[in-house]
Amino acid sequence: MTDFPTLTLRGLRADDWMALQPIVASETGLHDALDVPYASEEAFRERLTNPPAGTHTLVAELMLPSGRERVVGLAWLRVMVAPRRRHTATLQIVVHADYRAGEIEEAILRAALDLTDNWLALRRVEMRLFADDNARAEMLARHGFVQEAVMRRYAVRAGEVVDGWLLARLRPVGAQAPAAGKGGA
Amino acid sequence: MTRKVTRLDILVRGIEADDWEDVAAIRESGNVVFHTLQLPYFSRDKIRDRLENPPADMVGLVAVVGGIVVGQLGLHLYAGRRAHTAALGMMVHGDYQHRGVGTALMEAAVELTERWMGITRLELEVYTDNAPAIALYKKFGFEVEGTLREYALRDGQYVDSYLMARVRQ
Repeated sequence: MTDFPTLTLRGLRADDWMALQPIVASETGLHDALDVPYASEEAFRERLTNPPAGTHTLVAELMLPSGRERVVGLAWLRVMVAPRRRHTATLQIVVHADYRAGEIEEAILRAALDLTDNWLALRRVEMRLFADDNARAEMLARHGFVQEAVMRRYAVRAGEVVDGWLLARLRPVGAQAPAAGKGGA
Repeated sequence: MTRKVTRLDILVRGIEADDWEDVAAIRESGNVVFHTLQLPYFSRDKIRDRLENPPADMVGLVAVVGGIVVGQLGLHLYAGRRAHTAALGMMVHGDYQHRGVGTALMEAAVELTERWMGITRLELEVYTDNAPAIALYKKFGFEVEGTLREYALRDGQYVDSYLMARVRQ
């Protein structure tokens, strides 16, 4: 047995909603994302287990030294449905307050980008943050995200209408490219 | 050479299921596919189905000239913590562009969303090379908030869009 917690990133299991719902509904979860307080647990379970087509859900789970498993975060990757935007996905990451903008969140991001770069061959990944989330913006910048837009009056947060940042990452040139069609530019 | 511009008598009203054939004709006209996210070879049945079964979070306006629908504007209403926001998309028949149809639709959309729905943020995406559309949106107080790189595929190339928004306090 190791003395340190080990992190596993895996796909969604049917009962993960019970561990994830309190994370999403926590003060940190509401601060970072667009969920509302007092939301129905049943609605969350439904959203998690019956997502729209093109949704990939990653779950981060810690194996604690005690041998206990603890679900600490998730990533939602949603590939655009519009045919001319199928090369693009939006990414959302929610982690437990103890691990926010730290190594665990970075590990979730790395796994999501492995999925987009090497298995889905997406060209563009978008993330939306509140415009004061510097810690997370710095982490995203380390992984090739660029701030593209400041969205004024983006969303309500605890009584205020707050601006948002739209960040996007284009697939690195080094990544394995899909076979080029003839006559491409 | 001068271009003759005739002032049109334009009526703006809500979209009806019966408008589907005119809406299909708009998409088939001019360079509408090029400047939107529509596909060539689209199904007319799908357009009819969409107009007969409109999503609850969409509001549609059309511009009518001489009994024919020549322009369409759609508003997507966000919910929850973004309920003050709507996203806007529009298209004008290729034979009726630059004659005030877009202006009439935009006037109605701004009035509807701000004076009747309390929307304080109207947003849209437009290809960065669509100068006439960008000029129209700027006329209505939309500002460029950023450039979205490789936003969409257009005739074999990934092209950029501007994110534009009109914001009220």
